[in-house]
Amino acid sequence: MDSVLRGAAVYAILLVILRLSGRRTTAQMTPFDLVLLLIVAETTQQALLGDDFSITNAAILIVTLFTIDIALSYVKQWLPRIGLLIDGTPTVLICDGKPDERALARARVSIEEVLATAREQQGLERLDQIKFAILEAGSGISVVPKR
Amino acid sequence: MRRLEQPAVRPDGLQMEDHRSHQEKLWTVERCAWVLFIAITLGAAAGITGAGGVLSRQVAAIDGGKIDHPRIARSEAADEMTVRFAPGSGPRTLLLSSTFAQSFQIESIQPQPSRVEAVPEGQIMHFDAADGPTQVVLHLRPQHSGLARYRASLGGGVAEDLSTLILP
Repeated sequence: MDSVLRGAAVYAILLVILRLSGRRTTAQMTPFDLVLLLIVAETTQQALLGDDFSITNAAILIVTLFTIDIALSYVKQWLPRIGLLIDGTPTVLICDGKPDERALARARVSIEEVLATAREQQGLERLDQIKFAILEAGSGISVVPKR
Repeated sequence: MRRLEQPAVRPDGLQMEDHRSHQEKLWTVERCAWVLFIAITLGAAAGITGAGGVLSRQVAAIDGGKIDHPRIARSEAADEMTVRFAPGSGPRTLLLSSTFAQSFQIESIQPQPSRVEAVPEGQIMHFDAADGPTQVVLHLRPQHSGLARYRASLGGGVAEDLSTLILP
């Protein structure tokens, strides 16, 4: 029982902290963020396993984590508001060529980041060539060029 | 069926539901959470989560000396209790109630007691060095999370109620 409780507690804590940290996409990750992620993984390992390093405990924890993840995906499907809360929602950063300064500031995304994504995704050169820039809930910034 | 529902097309032509009011609330909640993160970090440094820090310990002045024990400890994490006998306070004995043993595993005692006696209230440790030790350190490992209440007395004096909050 202890393993299941530990798994559930660590899952919930990570979900809440990662969600509230506001770091919404892996596309925004810097190399230091990646190092931080590795440290978080190392830190949670101890809390998950405790002093039980048996294969049984590892198997129970893996099954527990996947079960919670599957259950949560159903909860998100049945209750879309919970899904919104957990996964977030896309945010329009540039609408019809006009930057939404409040959205950019609150989402902590700079115009330079949007321009970098526009260059990478669409080969665009300037801001006025962007029609929409959207901070997606789970996959970075997407850019729609003006035609 | 829900998966087949399509988001409405916005006036600007984008087919997307951005739930802006929800996002605004979430941004506010995020910023409140960051303040909480700072408070937790500073609080942990001060000792409100145990394992060191000024607030994690308390000293109980009881009949026969002082007991420096954890106010807040963590389950399965090493901690310690320091007993300081008052000079010339008679026999160097430490009584710990049986509830103490239910909450803490004693890993080592420095210096070692010469004798440990089981009594109905718990256990009495006798330290009978030539001139009597003035300080005894018990290395502990909390076993269960929750509020641990126990009684302790020094030199056969009046037993005092002590408590430690053990975090999971």
